[in-house]
Amino acid sequence: MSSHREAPEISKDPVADSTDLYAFVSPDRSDTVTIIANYIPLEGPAAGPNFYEFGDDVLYEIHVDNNGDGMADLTYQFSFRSETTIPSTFLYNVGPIESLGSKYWNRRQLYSVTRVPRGGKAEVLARDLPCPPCNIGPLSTPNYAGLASSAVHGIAGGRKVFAGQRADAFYVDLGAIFDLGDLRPIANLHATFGLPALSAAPGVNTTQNLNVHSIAIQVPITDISLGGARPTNTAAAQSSVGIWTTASRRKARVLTGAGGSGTETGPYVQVSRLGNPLFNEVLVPLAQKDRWNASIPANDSAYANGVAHPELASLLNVLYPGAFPNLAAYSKPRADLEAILLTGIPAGVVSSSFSTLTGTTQADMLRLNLAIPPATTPNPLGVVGGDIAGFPNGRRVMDDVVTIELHAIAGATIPLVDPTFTPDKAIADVSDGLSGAGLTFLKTFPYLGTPYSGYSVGPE
Amino acid sequence: MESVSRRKFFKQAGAVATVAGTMAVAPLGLASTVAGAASTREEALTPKEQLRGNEDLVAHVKNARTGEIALFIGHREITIRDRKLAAQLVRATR
Repeated sequence: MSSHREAPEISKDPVADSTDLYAFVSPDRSDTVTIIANYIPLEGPAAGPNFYEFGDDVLYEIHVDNNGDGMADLTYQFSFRSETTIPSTFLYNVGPIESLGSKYWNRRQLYSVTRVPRGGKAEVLARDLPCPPCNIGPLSTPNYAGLASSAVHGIAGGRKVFAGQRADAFYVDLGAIFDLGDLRPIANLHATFGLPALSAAPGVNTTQNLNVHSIAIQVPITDISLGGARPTNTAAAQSSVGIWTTASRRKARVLTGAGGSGTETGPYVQVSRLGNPLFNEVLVPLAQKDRWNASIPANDSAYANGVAHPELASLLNVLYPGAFPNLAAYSKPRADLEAILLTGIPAGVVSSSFSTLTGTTQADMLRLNLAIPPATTPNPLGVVGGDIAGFPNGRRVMDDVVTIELHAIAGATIPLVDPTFTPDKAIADVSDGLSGAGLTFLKTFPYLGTPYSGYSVGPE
Repeated sequence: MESVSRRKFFKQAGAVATVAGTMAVAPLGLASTVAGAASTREEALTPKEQLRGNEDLVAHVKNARTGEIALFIGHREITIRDRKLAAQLVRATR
């Protein structure tokens, strides 16, 4: 998936596992940027008696690089603490939760937000902000949308924050992709290794009706831009920033045997990282994924070979025999993918006025050009669909990143940097057959849709 | 990551507290024995030197041969090199 359970170690630590990262110029407040970092993959909505929550022992961070060196110039930190207010009950709630101060709500979470400029003094922007409860059902969390909206907090400096459960906006046919890439719509063309042939079929969304936990922050563009200026030149490298999220845990933990989580001490060490969707998932070899999660974007040249020579591209012509002859014959390093994922796209590649370039440092960061206004009619295929306000210029909640990246890896974007290459006709058919139909989003912050409730998700 | 001398380390945190912290997962008797051995050679902590409140100190013997021990306290990691102390800790586990 985008980054759900993408590496061996983090797959065993869900509360610290980043699943998706979004960053876009806010469609309803175009002088601001919204950044959303999702954690806790594949939350089943019926999760009682212990509904999902952030880790009190995890430091969640959103980093911004505004000078292209792959290092954080600015970090927003989010720290959580949980409270149990009714010690005598086994229940999450003992009546309807109709407000964030409900006396019926037993287990709640609060968080603080800190802004840390590089080399500067950390500033606590807010403390003890309440998260909403999880969406339980019509009796426990009636009017969930209204309840959750009360957990959107305006904080210092014209910023807004939200931290809590949301519907997962990422969609993918994981069952097909990791069954040796037998994309259902073209499964009839797939190699079968002597086994019975498969039939073409519609895609199946693995994340359907599942939730995640989102950390969302909306800040003025000038809060993250280089020098605090509002960029206006869409072709200038100074207009783009690189964004990624990390989760970290304390270095030492001792279980006391007295219940609870024991004691933790020492500095934080990074255990999860996410910039571009699918980067660690698809482009980093399994044996290196845990190390990638613990490293910083500035060191990503160590993983550049997986981008320049993606394993998946070399597999396509094997899995779909004869369907990708031009791709199979292409032996040059994939400068298109290196630009999209590692340095940003220079002006003149897509158009003379479009750039996401941040510099020459190879770093996996979600790059966002702050000078490009939001689209009035967004195309989920983003830049490859002619909508320069979408992925890989940042990433919006509705962007179809699986299709975009599958097409790019299959060679659709090679002609941007190498006009001698002719993409294979089969690229048009490369899809997991999903379009995000049925997903709903909010028109305002935090944009991601209302989470599915445990009661409402039932038999088809 | 900071580095300190053994003497400074003992002054900062105290051998008794350190070893007891290290042995938090070991049987109580063993932890007590080691703590007792160390404390006979070191001065007792002054009240000012005691660990604060519920502050925890965890030691990680990273390399017994070189005596490299990492100490975790608060949000800090401090590395000391003390082959004698490392050997003492290892022997306590045998």
